[in-house]
Amino acid sequence: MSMDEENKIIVRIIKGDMSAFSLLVDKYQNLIFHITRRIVPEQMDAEDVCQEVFVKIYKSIGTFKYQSKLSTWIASIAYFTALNYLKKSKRDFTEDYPENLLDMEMDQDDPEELLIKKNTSEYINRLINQLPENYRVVLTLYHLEEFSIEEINETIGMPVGTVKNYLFRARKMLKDKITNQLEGDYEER
Amino acid sequence: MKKDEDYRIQEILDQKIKGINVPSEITDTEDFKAYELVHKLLKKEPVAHLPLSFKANVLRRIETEKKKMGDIRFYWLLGVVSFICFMAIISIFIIFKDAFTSVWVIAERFKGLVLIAIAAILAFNFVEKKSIKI
Repeated sequence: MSMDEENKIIVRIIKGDMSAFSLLVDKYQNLIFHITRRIVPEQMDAEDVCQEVFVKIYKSIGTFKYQSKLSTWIASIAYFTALNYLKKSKRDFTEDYPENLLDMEMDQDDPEELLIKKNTSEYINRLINQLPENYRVVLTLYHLEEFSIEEINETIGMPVGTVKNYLFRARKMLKDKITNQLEGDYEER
Repeated sequence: MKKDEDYRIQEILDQKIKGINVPSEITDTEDFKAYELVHKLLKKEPVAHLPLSFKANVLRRIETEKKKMGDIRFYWLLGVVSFICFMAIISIFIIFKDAFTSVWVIAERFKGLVLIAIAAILAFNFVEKKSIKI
């Protein structure tokens, strides 16, 4: 969908055209879900937050200024709605994360964890979920949604330098963990 | 030193995302391969996804919200109109106080009858509601 088409859809939504809004839901539901799911761990809660995000988009699409990309604006609404949800439900685990993330010890390996390690993809997802929420969101926006550093800065209001730093530290931590896992597998054989 | 190497590898892979290939001897190292794997896994779509009914649920919720907003607007309008009517009636009574003197006299004389009439109307309504419930 080009920018021009998107602008036309916005105008139609403002006029109350629900079929236009339906197209918007199709296009952005995955983006919203990926961001929300990285902040809100429970699937059902994440679904509720996604619905809330779309209601907010519908109500405030008239205030969209066309100065940023629509995806950035939508991602921003998703990010802050999910954060608010976390605060309200008082399930914010990430307040006291240590600054020295690279030295941080992840959960100890129990049998279930060892089984998960066999599936590298699932293992990395588990590792990402143990990171502080800002790291999780930055990784998701950059790698999965292919946002640029500047777009991430616009979306979550984090300085460009901090975004770069978070990306570097999170990827290094994941790489170290994966290297250890692969070495472990090799030794087992 | 190690941190510099990590930084370099990450930069090369970031360039690769943008479609720029940077030839370097570093690409043969174990670390580079591990980072490549991390990048590949980070790009992978998560298994969890929204249910198929999600879009229908969103559209239904928006319709409900719209209806709620419409109702709120209607009740506000009704409130404003009722207030204006009430003020108009009071004003008429105050402005044309003398014209209503005879009405007050009659009402004063037949107040018992007026009260009985009001009570009869209320009782009728009450009985009617009860009989509908049964």
